[in-house]
Amino acid sequence: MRAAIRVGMAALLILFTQGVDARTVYVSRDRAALLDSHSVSGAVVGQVKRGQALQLIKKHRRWYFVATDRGLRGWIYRYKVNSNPPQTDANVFALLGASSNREAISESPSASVIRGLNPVSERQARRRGRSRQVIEAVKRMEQRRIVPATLERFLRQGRLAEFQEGL
Amino acid sequence: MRVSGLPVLLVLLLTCLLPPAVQAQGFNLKELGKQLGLDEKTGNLFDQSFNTLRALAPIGYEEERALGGALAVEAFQRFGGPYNNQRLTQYITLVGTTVALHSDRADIPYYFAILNSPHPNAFATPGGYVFVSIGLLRLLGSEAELAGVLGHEIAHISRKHALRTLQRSQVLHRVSQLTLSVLDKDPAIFDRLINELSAKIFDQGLDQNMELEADRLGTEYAMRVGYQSTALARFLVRLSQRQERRHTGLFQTHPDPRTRARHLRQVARAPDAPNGRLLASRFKRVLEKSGIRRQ
Repeated sequence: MRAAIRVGMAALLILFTQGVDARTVYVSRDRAALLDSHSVSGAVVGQVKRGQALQLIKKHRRWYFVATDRGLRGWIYRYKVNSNPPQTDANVFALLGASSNREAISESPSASVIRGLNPVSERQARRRGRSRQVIEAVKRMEQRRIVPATLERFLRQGRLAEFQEGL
Repeated sequence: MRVSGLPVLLVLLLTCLLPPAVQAQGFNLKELGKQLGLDEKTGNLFDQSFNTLRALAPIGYEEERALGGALAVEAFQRFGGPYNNQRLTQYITLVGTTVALHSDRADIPYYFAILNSPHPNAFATPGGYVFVSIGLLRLLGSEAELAGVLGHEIAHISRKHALRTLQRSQVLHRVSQLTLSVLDKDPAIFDRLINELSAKIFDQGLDQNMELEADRLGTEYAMRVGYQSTALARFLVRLSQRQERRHTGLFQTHPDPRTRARHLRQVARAPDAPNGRLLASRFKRVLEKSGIRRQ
């Protein structure tokens, strides 16, 4: 019986600690720069991509000093990383990458073919007699994405996020 | 009642370790207990506990998004459809995305839309869908206030408030595990879930404690971006002074604005952004260029 309890406890411990690594963070933006200082005026020492795992070495206010698995080290704004890997949608982000030189929001008709309301939700909405217009409105809502350059300009002009004074 | 240790331990372990897919296929805990030598009474006890545990198990992101998407259709259906204004929608998406990226759940995509309803209101449905009515946008005075309102809705999503209300739902007790397959194959269950959540989100409003928590967290997220910490509270005070029908829009689905403002002042942390931004002129400029008249 004692052996069974020990095995049980070990199994539960493994179950609840699976994948937990407090020092690993994941890039939450499509692309982000690693800088040589904890400020937007720092020089870029490298680029990291969405979902990439980084080792957190130290913190300074809202900046993290991190290392990639290839040994590249630099500072990154803490809200460009997350403790969980992002819920990715490869199609959407591939689309964004292809249109990164476009202005503002991506809302091309082709996007609706790739990304849309979950088919299960759409079938249910049709069963409930919802009009095509409202279903399409949700699909358009899901297709809107911010182009990184537009977001950066918006933040820089407003002196928000990593562009805040005194960070 | 004497319960033998080893079978109980094995049953408990299996309960924890079984993959959701297996659980969803009608895994029979009572039968397993019987085969391991548990009497019927104990087997029943474990079966009931298992059902409760299962009902409380977190709903997966894909299922959450399916529910949220179906509710987003309901939002457009019930509140005048989308307000089609590309410039204004782009601006709302920029502010909302920025706040969401500074939230406690920045690992999912968020979607933003304006509802063509004159009543001031804002909603969030699970999975990242955020709505704000054109009636509410006309009442706001700055980008910081908008960030506070969107932050409040993002907090509902990040804390999974609507999903938490489902834990008490009788509908969930009828299913072994809420998967996409269950939602697709049993339209009656999906329908009841949509109806329950619609009533909560669009008619009655969530619990007051959840609303107050969303105010506090929404303000916190907006502050992380660099917006003024007092913006949402100030807007709520202004809203409470409006002489309009108290049973419509935000008044119907949220606690009294004065209560919310008072609570926010009590719980708000000391501002960590000394130069918190209001950005009133940028907000007014966007509205003006979008052809929106403020009230």
